[in-house]
Amino acid sequence: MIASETREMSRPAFGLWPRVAIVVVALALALAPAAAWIVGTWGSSPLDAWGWLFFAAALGWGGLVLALGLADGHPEGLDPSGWPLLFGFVLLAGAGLMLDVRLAGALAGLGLGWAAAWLLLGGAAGVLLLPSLLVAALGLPTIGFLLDGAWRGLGLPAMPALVLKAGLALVLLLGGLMLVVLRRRGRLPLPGPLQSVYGVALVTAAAALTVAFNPPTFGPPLALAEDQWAFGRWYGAEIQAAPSEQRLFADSRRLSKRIYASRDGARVSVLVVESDDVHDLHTPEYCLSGSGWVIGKPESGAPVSPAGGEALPLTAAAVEITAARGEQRLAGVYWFSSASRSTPDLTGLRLQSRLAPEEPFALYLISAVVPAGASARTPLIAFLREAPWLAAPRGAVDDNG
Amino acid sequence: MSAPVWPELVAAVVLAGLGLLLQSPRTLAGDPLAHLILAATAAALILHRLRERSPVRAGSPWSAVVLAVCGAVLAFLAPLAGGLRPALAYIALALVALSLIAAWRGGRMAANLAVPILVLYVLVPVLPLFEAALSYPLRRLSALLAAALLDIGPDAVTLHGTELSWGTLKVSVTSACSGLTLLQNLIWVAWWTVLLRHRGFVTRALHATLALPAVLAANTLRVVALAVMARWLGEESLVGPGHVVVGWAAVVLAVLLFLALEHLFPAVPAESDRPDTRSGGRSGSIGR
Repeated sequence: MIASETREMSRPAFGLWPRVAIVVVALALALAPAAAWIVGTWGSSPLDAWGWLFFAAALGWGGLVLALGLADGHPEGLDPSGWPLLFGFVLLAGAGLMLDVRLAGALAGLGLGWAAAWLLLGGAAGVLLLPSLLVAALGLPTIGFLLDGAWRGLGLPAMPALVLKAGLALVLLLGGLMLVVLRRRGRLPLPGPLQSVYGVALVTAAAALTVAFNPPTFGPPLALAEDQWAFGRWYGAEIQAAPSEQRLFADSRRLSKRIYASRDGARVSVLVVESDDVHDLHTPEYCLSGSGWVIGKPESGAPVSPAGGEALPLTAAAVEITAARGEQRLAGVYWFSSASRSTPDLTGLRLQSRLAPEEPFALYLISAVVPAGASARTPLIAFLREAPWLAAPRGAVDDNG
Repeated sequence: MSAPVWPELVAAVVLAGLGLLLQSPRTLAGDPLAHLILAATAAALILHRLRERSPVRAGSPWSAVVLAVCGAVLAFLAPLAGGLRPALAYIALALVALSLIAAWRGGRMAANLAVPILVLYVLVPVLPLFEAALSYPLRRLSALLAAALLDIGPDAVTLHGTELSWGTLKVSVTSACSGLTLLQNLIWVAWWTVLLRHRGFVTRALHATLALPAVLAANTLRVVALAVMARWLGEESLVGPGHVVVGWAAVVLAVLLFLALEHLFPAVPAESDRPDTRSGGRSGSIGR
């Protein structure tokens, strides 16, 4: 690693606590635009509930670091190694605004507060407050969902998002304790400005590589002809959406849920959510995880491609999901579609909403639930084969005349 | 002072392991065994070059920053690059890996590892794509040159695309006759050859580039030989063992041609003739 350097800081005229006050004000200002979203989601989404606990833990850690005098030795002016970090978080905020990603804005808000602490309180405080930044980030909405996805991606046994976040927070705080020990022994590595630049470049490169290896995918638009209630061996009926679904999609333009049943007793559920604002749409894993379903791997093990192939008979770029809850087994497929294209992921949704802001999007979730031991995929595939498909979602067709 | 070897070993195993993870198992274990040999050669070189005892060098923060920034820019551009996305993503990953090496062991070590890392992280994963793009040009060139050679003989030769008409005989230079398999195998032969026979990046790169004309010449002669064989012994001879023998002869010819081209470059003094200035007193390295 780049050789670290230790800098001697002289006693400043401008004391510690006024600087802390400025940091707190800076953090509050930077987080203010995202505050309503953060607090609102803590109350509405089961996956994000208890997020305030992580904020409290982060504040507690920060307070402890300051109260123990571990951040003493701050510079007379500003620590120059904090500037690259500030610049990095300004870039993140810019990207969040440009792509309309609220999580990026909120992360940037936390990061700007941390960078302000680094600048004003010095590198030692910056390094010691890093666990605060990361633990607070765990309290942000969507982080639980992302962690859950990453955990499942590693093939590890399912675990509630809150437990995952709590475990990670514990590890981070233990890491913080190690930093404290190093600080006490005078062996805490303090990066200089160039090392800070490299750190920012490396984190940016890591984020860019994540996007490069998981690019958003797009397919042709696809929607269900909703005015046909009987086709093939299927009969449909509109039903009331569950309270959790109504709560999650409260701001959407239209929420429609229908059940299709076949003569041989198979049942398939279709959920359609239309919205002009992409923020109103979520991936189904988000609400399924929040309502007690444990997300698993698709039976086919094959991704759903626009070509359909052997996975599922679909033309849209879609995602296949399976889930289990007690003795229930769920198989489903979902995609977001506008008038011009479909996409299976939120990145694609945000990108498409930027490329064609006038096009409303609709989420299609088609799922079948069966008792354990039966295959939920069988009725799902039968329905997908026989359903009357349109080239574009209803709302988009209506809007475009 | 010498650095302990184990951090280098761990780093080398991580770098080589990551590179091997990037490979498509179907490509590595499938028909083109050449890919596996190339990947294994690159992984071995990374291990070899990193584990050599050398004086501890400070990292090169600026080169590390530049490499990381270039990697980030390429990675951000990758999703917009259509069919080139995998190649750009792999190059970006290689640059980030090299930036970590530059930060840890300095720019010189990063430069030493650049070729094996680029081969392992970029060339081998995108080789099937590259070969698909190269197939037709190689077929066409081989057919063109073979037609020119056969035209020296008594009957006129006409060429339509990649099909030769020689009197009443029609010979089609198909994908299997493009010389790609020859090229796949000559790439790793060439790499080992230039590592063992030359010093300096430029000389090695120049000699390695000559693998392509060597393949083209050998494949052209193979097409000519097959056409002559079909003309004299009948077209049925093309599906017999004669075809295989001609193919192997072309492999041998390509290798011999490539080795003969070594004489275009200045001779390299033998290891024993040069003083060993490195710490640890090792010699016979293929990593320099």
